[in-house]
Amino acid sequence: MKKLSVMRRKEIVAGFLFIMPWLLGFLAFTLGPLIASFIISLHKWDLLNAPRFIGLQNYRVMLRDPNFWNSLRVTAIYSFSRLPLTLTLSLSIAILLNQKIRCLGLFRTVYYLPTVLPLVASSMLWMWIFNPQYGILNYLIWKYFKVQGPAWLGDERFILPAFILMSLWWIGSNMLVYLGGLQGIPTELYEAAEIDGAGMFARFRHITLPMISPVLFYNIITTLINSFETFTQVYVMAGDIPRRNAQFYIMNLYNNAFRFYKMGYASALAWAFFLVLMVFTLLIFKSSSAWVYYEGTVKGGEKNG
Amino acid sequence: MKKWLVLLVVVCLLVTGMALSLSGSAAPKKVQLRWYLRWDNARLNNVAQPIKEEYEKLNPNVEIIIENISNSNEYHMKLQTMLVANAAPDVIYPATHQAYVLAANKQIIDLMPFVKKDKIDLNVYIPEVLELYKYNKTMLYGLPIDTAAFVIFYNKDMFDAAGVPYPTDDMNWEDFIELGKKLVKDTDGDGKIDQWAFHFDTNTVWQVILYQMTGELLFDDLYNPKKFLLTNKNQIEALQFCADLIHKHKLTISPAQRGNIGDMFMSGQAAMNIIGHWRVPTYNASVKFNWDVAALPQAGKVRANRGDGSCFSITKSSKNPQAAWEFVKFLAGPNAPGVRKLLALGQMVPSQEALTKDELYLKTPGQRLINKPAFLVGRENMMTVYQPFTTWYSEAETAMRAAFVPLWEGQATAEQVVKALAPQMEALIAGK
Amino acid sequence: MADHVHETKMDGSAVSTWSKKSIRHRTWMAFVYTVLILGGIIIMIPLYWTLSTAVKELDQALAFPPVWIPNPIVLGNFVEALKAMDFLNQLKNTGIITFFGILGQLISSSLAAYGFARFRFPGRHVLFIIALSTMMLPFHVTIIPRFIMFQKLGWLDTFLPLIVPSLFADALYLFLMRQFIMTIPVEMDEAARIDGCSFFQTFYRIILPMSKPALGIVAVFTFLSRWKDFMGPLIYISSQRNYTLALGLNALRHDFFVEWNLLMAATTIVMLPPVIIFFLAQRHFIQGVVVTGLKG
Repeated sequence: MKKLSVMRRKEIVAGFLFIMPWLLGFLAFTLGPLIASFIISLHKWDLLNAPRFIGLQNYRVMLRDPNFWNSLRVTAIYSFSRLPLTLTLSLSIAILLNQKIRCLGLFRTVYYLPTVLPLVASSMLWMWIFNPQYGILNYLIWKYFKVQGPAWLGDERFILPAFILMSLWWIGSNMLVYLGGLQGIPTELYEAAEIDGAGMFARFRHITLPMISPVLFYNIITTLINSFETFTQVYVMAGDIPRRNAQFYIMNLYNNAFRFYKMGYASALAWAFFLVLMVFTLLIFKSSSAWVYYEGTVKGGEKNG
Repeated sequence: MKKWLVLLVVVCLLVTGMALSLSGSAAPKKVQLRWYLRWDNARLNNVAQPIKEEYEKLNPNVEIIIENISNSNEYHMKLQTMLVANAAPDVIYPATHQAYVLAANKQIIDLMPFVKKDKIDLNVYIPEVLELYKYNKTMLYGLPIDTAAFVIFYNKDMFDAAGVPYPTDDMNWEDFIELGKKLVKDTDGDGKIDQWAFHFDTNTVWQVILYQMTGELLFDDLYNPKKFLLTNKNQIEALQFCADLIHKHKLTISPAQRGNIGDMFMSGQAAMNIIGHWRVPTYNASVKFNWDVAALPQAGKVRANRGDGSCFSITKSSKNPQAAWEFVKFLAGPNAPGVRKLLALGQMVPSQEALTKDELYLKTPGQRLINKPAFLVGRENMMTVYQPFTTWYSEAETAMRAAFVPLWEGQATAEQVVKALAPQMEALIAGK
Repeated sequence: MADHVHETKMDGSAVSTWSKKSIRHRTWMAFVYTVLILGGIIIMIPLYWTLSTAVKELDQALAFPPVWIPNPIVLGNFVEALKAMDFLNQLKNTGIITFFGILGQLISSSLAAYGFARFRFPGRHVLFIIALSTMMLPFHVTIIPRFIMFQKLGWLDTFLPLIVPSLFADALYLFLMRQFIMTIPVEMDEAARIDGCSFFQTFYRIILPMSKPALGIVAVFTFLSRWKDFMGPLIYISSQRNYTLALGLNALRHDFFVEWNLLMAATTIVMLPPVIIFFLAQRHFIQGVVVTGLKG
């Protein structure tokens, strides 16, 4: 009995030792800073002078700050217009790829390639595409519609459409996830449905959709978080002239922290961001039980190393 | 395993890199001075590099390490970070208003003790210019190098082709508009205008026009602003005049339509550019057509131009303030070799009175002979485009630029954008 | 992922009586290919446009209508771009950050994953849930205290703020490794333990070699995330000699007023390494995306 408990103790110690490479990092770089962030948000601090405690003042200023509301608006419009487009487009491509086609590997590579490129490079590339005078986008508009295209990144009305359009270039990873989901659906299900006389769309609605709902769920979460975090392309493509509709949330946070050195206020912004994310994630998770079908989730193909 | 292949590639990259870095860093026993600039490639190669070489030749124990960020905004942001980290370069090159903020935050050092010790005669500098680099009237935080006066650069070939006379030094803005209209053309006849009168940098030029037209700066006091004057009727009119150059007189396209072509003059799309001396080395190096400069047009009879510019300062984190001072003295001291070198390379309009009359400035040997006196026109009425000199300037500037976007795009009038902007400025003044 | 795909249709269902539906099927397949090829072309146009601009003379780069096929092809643009951006130094910097990032993740995520997968200790479940939830937490939320912490440590403008945090297991990779280790039969561990291996030896001799496929995925994804990182270097790195490629490319944007051919040449150069790695390790990438997607 005693010997067992020594063994058990050893296991506990070893277990904690093994998870240290995660636990320490979590404490030092996530939990600690998260708490510190809240404390800093209660101060006025420019890093030059000593921090001054001002209570919830930063949060009050935030609620009255038009830039804050504007950045929320811009980020929300971007995220929620991008989401359905990305989801449907990548699902359509995945379904097409899931037919018995030749060169599956080639297509997969082509569609996935843009997602591996460094974001700064992609941003430069798209800046050049969106160039009002020499970009190919406006050239094509000129050629086929005989009108001068918009100024895209320079025009308040077209900045967000430009960023949304650009984001569709990265449907590749969503598409791959769908493809994995589709390939895991047992064919017997379809055969059974066909015998029952279910049409193509009925089968899509009643078999495909429920069966891929877990990956759909995953795609929704990752796409949304990714959209909320949008920074690099905005900084590179529209950071020089501060336009209203390019004032994404993280951009506003960055400006306050590292341009104006308002560390307290920027921390308040960070905390608000944290809360918004929490609420969204919880909402999506709560709703997921209603529509995500978990039984029959298929194992990934980890066998082919 | 492909994984090993991947790792192999990464390791190879790493090893090559390390080998290269090792071979590059031999015998670092010299005094190293980091020199932090914000110039474009042409000036870096043709101005900074020769100066570094010359200084190192004269001072074999010193090594100058050039660091450069060409965008003024990013330059300043990075500098802030480095100062906070106490890892800033020794000698920096801030614009007038940036230097002021750094001095107010005690991030750059007072040069007065050095000036006194070395008996530097500060009277060689234009007094109004020198004043811009003093904090509380006593602390001198930088040696001014230049004034950033605006002129008109013009493409002679384009003027010749259009049969239009070259701009002159005594034009006013009405003349400029008349002249410009003759240069807007569809040269290849495809129905799209492809040649414009001028490149309009909407970030800075308007402040000078405003000052010419109203005699007022944006705020009532340069150092202690209490009132935002842009809401005055005459200032709004002047601002509207600037926007009209784009949308009423159609002399050029808006910043948005221009997209990311940073200089339409250079790309051959515009016959003129309103900008300062810092483009001279750039155009010398990479422009193929014939060009010259003319003075900035005047408003009625009033002449005015920028007195602000840049200076060389020493950061608090410099480990070698004495060595840094020697270099600053070389760069910007009275008739210093560095100043003469800068002049000889075609760079800058000197902040030292005597040098503005020097042959080296007026007829720089080995360089395209251009109308250098044009840069000096308007000196009797000096102003600074950077308003105001306070720690909240960068916020004010960001707000202003954002608010003016609809103005430059022709989507709002000057009155509308100023009305929208005013509460933000008042909040900044009040220190919310 | 296995490449053999079931014969399926729009709804993903199998085509059973295929002779009858032959014509319908062929029309359908023609449609599938047309859409896929068109989509592929649209995806590739931006890349072609970059590459072709990169080898154009300035006049052709700034021509309207655009020139599709550059003539002459100016390879000298690449040389100029390399010179302008101090490429070798930036490559070295990016390489160092990436290398330690990969190494750190491989070691730490496999160790921690082993801990979570094989040991029973109080709070294990709660801690694992916490780890999972940090996957949803963007690092922006903690960016300011981190910056201040690194400033106090005197780490700003060094690679340490970019390397040290990535030495600790990232939740995503931890999760991936744990799921993988759970598929390794526990009997293997037990056999090793009976042979006298310590916990660590078991990990080192049994678990690690068997986790190669998962480690491969961790390696390529860490490579990508480190190589692509922009906001991190933007905030922590300030002097030019410490620039990464991403920072260097961004800075170059201001160096050229009109020379978009040179900018595109530099862009091409910066894009190249990840593309090469992608082609070398495609399987890991694709598998990684699918596995995380299916298990998340």
